[in-house]
Amino acid sequence: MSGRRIAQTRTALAVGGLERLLKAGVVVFMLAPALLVIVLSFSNEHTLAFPPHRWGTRQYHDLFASGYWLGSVGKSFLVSVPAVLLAAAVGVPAVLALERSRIRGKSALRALGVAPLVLPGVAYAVALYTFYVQVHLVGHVWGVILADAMLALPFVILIVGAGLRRIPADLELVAMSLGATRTRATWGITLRLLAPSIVAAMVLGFVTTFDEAVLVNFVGGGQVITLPKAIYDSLRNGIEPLIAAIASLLMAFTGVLMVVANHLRRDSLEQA
Amino acid sequence: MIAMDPAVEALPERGPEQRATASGSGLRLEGVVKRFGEFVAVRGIDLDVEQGTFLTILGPSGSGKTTLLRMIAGFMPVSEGAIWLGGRDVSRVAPGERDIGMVFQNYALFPHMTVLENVAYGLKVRKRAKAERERRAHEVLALVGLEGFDERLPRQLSGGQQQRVAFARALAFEPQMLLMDEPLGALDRELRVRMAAELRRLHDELGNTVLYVTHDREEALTLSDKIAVMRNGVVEAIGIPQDLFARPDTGFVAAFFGGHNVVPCEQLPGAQAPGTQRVRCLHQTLDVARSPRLAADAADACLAIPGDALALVEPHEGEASGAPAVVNSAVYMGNAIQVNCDVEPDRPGPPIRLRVDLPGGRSVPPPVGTRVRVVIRPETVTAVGA
Repeated sequence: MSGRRIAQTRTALAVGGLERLLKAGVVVFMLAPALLVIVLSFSNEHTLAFPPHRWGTRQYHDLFASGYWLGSVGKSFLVSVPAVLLAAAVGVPAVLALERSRIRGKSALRALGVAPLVLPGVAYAVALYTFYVQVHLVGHVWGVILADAMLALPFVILIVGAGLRRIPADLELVAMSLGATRTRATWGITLRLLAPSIVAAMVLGFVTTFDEAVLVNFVGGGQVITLPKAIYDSLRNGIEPLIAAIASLLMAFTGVLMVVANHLRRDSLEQA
Repeated sequence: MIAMDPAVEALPERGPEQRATASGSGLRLEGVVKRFGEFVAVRGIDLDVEQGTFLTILGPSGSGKTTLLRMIAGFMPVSEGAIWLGGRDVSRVAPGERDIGMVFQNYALFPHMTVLENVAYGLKVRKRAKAERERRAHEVLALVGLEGFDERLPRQLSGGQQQRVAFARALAFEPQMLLMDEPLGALDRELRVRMAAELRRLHDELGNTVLYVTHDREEALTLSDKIAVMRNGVVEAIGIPQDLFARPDTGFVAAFFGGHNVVPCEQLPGAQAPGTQRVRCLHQTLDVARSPRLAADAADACLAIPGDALALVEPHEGEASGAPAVVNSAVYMGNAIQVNCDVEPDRPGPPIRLRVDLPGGRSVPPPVGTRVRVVIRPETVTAVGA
């Protein structure tokens, strides 16, 4: 009797230990590369080697001195910001129509809007490339912006859609009965309440498109050099240690954006 | 308020007619129809609501009452007919220009605005000066008894307080008319009764026309000057509460509004007085008041029998008067005993169930299963069509 209980306790201990080990393993596996990159970014070596023998901020100096790399960062902003604005300009009215109107085939349309998120990226990129060749958009910055806008659209449809479902339609009716025009009721009440969701969706869309590397490789045609594209290209001539500095800055930047987006979403949750 | 005999016709303190002469016409509906594709939600409503009247539209869910309200508010267009407000055809007028304040069941307060901003919203979109907006907002907030909450957000208020803000917001821009869509429906019972009394007081003070939609007949009784009972997209009956309760025109009004028993009866010739009808019902032959809307040859004639117009007697007492029945349940309620009994329990088919209100006090409810006879006292009974 007591022997069996001890055996059970042992099993439980073993399972518990294994569980903790697995959890630790996952955390290490996920965090270690990120930490490694940050550590490496403070190496003063000319090649990427671990552990570095000399420490310093040389990689950062090189990065900020390089027109090529800074140019690619600028290009990334130039592509992502208009792409996200475009996604919002198309997505927000689409969400209003999907949630508030009586059009038919709503769920099919919603699924279509979210499709870019679930389609295999490479397959989508190949299809888009073939299409762009026909309409002469390959290598054009607007082609990349359009492709990235498609990529950001699902975030708008999903996040703004969820935000709108928490806002009662009666609010707009009340505003109208109080004398507001339809436009004023929509902008002043519904869109005002949706603003945190819209910003959150745009931040997520921005983070996604900013480091998008597959689409740009296809439809950029080697002429639109965004930051991820530049990193890809540099890999062909061996890894430059400067990439570690870029990666570290990128992680810090997106980390801050994600925190902001999360805050906004929570605020809008409290409000509704 | 002192309980008055429902038969008393003159109700001086609730006389909307007196105000009507002073301030012109109220709301007028002419043949209003609403279709959604094949479905007809509202099938032709004519209605005259005098200025200053508190009119309740009472009906079960799906009767078209909310659709009607939304058409009057201007949130959906009428399919046919016209809506007049204050002598103006507003059928094609935008909601904001109809001069109607609206209160929703779920309050619909703007969650990102303070109480003061919510109440002042109607004045803000009308471009009134800030000082005037705030003065007026404070005024109506005081009126609804909600002072000192100016800077709170709606989510920091209780349900009752939120409802007060919604009332204040609807009143702030001094609309000709108020529309209320089950505004107390989301509150608990005790608060609902208190708010209803307060609403009535507010209406007596302000005297604007109110159209109030509910499915709760107690609310309708507490609040209304007049009640319109809706069923299947039409107004089945309209009148003062006393008339609808004491002399209902149809079986539906009797059951839904009055809570009366509605029992099929047979019309017989030979009534003594005008306005009465001889009928045979529950094994009794009686002369009762008849609704003018009951056709002489109606096959669906019924008696509307209030619970206290029925008495229970011993099964063999006297001669075979009344219908045999068996007590199904009996509850002591203090001032009354509510008995449910099934008529002719031995007959096949579903039994007719009657609600009998016996005097309470020291009386003891009859045990379940007691055999009795149900006797109708004809004085407060009305013969109606179904």
